[in-house]
Amino acid sequence: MPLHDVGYRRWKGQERGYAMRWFAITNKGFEIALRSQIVRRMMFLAWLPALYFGAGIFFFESYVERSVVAQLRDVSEDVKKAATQVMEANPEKFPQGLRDAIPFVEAEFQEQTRRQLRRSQIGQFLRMLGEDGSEKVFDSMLQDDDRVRRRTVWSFLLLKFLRGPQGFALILLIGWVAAPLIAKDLRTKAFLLYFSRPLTKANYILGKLMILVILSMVITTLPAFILYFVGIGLSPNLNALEQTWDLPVRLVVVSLLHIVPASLLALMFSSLTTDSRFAHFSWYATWILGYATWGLISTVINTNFGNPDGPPQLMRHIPLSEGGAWAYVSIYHTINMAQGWAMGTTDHPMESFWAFCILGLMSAVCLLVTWYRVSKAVLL
Amino acid sequence: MARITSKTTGGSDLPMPERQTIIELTNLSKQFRGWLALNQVSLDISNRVTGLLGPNGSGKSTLIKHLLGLIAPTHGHGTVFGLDIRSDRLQIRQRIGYMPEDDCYIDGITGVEMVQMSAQFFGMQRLEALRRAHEILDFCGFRQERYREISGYSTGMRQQIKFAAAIVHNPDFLILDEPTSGLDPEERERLLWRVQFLNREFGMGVLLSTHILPDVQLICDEVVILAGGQVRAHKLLEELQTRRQWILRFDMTSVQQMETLERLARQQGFECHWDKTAEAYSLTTDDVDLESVSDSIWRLAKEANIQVRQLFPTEESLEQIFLKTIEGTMHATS
Repeated sequence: MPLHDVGYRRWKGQERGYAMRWFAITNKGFEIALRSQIVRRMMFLAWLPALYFGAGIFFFESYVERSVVAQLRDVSEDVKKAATQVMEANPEKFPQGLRDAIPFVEAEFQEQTRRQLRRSQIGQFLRMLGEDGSEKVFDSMLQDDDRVRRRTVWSFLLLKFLRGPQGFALILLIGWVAAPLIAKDLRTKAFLLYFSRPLTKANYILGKLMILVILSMVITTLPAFILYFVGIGLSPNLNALEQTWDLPVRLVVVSLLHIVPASLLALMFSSLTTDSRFAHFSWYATWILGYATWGLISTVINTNFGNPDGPPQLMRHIPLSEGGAWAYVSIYHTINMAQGWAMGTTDHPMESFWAFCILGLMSAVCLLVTWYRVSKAVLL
Repeated sequence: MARITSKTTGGSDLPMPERQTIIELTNLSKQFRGWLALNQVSLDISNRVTGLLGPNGSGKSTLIKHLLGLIAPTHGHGTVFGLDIRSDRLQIRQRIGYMPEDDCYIDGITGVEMVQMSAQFFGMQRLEALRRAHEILDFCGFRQERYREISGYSTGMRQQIKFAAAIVHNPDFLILDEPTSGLDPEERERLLWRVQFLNREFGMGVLLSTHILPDVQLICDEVVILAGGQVRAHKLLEELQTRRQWILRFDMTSVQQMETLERLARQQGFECHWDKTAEAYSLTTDDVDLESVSDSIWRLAKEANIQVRQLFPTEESLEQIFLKTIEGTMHATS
């Protein structure tokens, strides 16, 4: 008999309210997930790209912003200022017609600056940050306002980080962790153990969902936050904080735009089977097939895109009217469109609007199916 | 404070508690796609140990799910602790401990984690829940195995851990669905005594749904027999077992003589039954006066011209009562 065996005693403690009881499911689910070596390794590897993107911010703040681009922009500014001063000082020598030429001269200098910049390695770095061939980042570097330059580059850099390596890691991780979450409860008939307690179906689903949300935020939102604060630390003054104060909020929204629909989809797959292998398979197949289908369709459309002066622009953005609507077959691309709006980087708000509608609809359907499956399991 | 520890097998000598109604059901019916699982069930279950008996498909599990608010009745209404089973589900579950019948468990967690989690579901803080879980596991006789994953437990251990999870929050009422299935005789006895101990010492009402009639005879104060979705009997166990059965053996006799005996016995208010196993005739009556009943039987035998070889009284077993009660129902397979 254990030394401290005190027999049965009444419990007279203070109960918590009903609102946070789902947290017990989340807490234990998170612990169980982290017991898996595969999950721990996935999470460790998911942090590595942050180093790469941290280097990107460092490169921008300490080199691009301060050196080449600034010099090129300054030359353009200097020429414009000098020309304006000379013309205004000697109005008799420069008739009105010549003064009107200043904007054209300025444009010409900007164009030359742009050409030089495009050819440079920095130019390639900046163009790479844009998407679908967009030169928005590249153009921003020619702006006078450092707020515009910093915000644009940081926004694109952080978005690229969340969409690319973190998006990929998130899909792998959620697929691995989510598949057994409900499937195992179905197999082991654990529902009676949950629902004979003061828990509702909403508590149960929220508890399971939050396991995925927290795990995903650890590998997406958290490193993105750290990247952001690394950028603040590397910036020359605290103006950077004032210029980009809204980016952390946008980062949370952008992360959740990926995490919530994806987690609901994963939970739905998990609730449809008692064998988690089927849920794993369905999950990965959905993402891969969607991605591949849109990749194929976009390649075909762009290959046929008439461009008599050169090769087909495979990276060209395809408008909705030209078949761009097919992008919605890929959940990944649909999420990307919504994320672009949330981060303020998109030039196509209508596409983002439809992406939001589709993601909302998909999430609602997934939630309803999961709810139905859980309700049905309780009755068995 | 009275104590029962993991080593204790004895229950309590205290008398059964004064009857207080905890569950009250009025004309409760549940229909599933044309099948009537519960049919006008009216019942009041008290703070005593109540055995819920019934063959498979009699509606026991459906009744329990109603009490927990997992399903809503088609007609009728019910209350538990005065709380409505339709609208106050969470408050009811807060005060009830339920041990499900199925071999169910939460995969990937240890025994102590399951009990801790259950305590958290009832509103305990995480650390307090862990402390309480250990306390209850000590009470239930768990040692180091509490740190093993439940998926590796034997059926008996899973039953015990489900019991621990059901009582961790100090419920006012316990619903146990087949609690002793899969337990060895010693474990079974300990579990039943723990149940009785909790009832006698802590006033925890118990509803024990089972197929194992000796369990009911051992600890139950009241018995409810459900069959075909209807309540066939609801009595104190003592009341059910007051009926006397007289075993009558006689010399070989004609069919006509036997028919005469049966007719006369029925006229006198006996229930007559030919027991093939015992190769004897059983006569059952509610009359408890041994002398007058034996005189009546001797008189009947004389009138039927039967030579009696053996006549002795026995108590009608719960199994016989149960089988008689559910006689005629479609699902009498138990």
